[in-house]
Amino acid sequence: MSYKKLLKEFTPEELAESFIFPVRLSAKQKKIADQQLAEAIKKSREEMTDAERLTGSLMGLKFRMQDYIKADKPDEEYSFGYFLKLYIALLERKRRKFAAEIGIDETLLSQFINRHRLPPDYMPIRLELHSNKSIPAEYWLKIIEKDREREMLSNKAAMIKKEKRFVTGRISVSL
Amino acid sequence: MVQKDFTNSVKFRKLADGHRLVSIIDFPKEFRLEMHLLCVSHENMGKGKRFEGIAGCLIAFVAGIAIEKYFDQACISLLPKTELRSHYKNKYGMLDGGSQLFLEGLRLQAIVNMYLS
Repeated sequence: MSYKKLLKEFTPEELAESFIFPVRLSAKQKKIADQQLAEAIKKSREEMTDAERLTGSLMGLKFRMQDYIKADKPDEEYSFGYFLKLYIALLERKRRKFAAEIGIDETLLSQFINRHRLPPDYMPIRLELHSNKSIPAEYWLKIIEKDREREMLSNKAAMIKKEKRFVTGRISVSL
Repeated sequence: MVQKDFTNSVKFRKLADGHRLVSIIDFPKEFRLEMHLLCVSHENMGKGKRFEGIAGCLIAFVAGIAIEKYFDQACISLLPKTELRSHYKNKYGMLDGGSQLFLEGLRLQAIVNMYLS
């Protein structure tokens, strides 16, 4: 049904609660519209407070973590280290200062970020506390589990070979 | 369940199921997602609608994608039909950006909290 026909059946308010209609502009009109929008956004961004910026950044991080947690399989791009690095970058903290704030050594922090060491149980808790509960410990924990899953899957064949000799008995059925 | 369709291109996404549809154009240099088209099913339109706030949820969903992608710089926009302009502003708190309307910062965060929390 066309926009004009819909206007006969529904009020503008009702349409605004159901639609965004595509609007065609000429190349010249589009250019002017985009310039006007860019200026308005720039002005609005200049008025943004530090608290607004930080809230937006943390929401973005949280959504990205949620999406990754919901994903079926571990993704090579993402890891505990990736999200930890992103968290520190979004806070605009120096690594040394951040490490001190969560009570660990800077070297240890780098090992977590560079995936040279899996984080111990206290890390998710300390990160939840540091984020003022904005990012729950469970999120960090689930990402660590995905890291472990990825590591195990990548080494599974070698691990089976290594562990086989310790399993001396087996059940008789297989699913 | 809203499904993401990335098959068209990186810049264009279509999110659709049987009851709602929104298409988005991504402007990475501007940290902005433009809502090109949005519609809900006929049963959810007008006075006798089955569910309230479906369009609001879709707009909030797009806002969430923008925030996930562009963090504190995230922005969403639309080019409204003249007759609907004031209603988008009243209903969703959108701001004037010349002939277009937009949401960013606190207002963008608020619409996510209002419809998706």
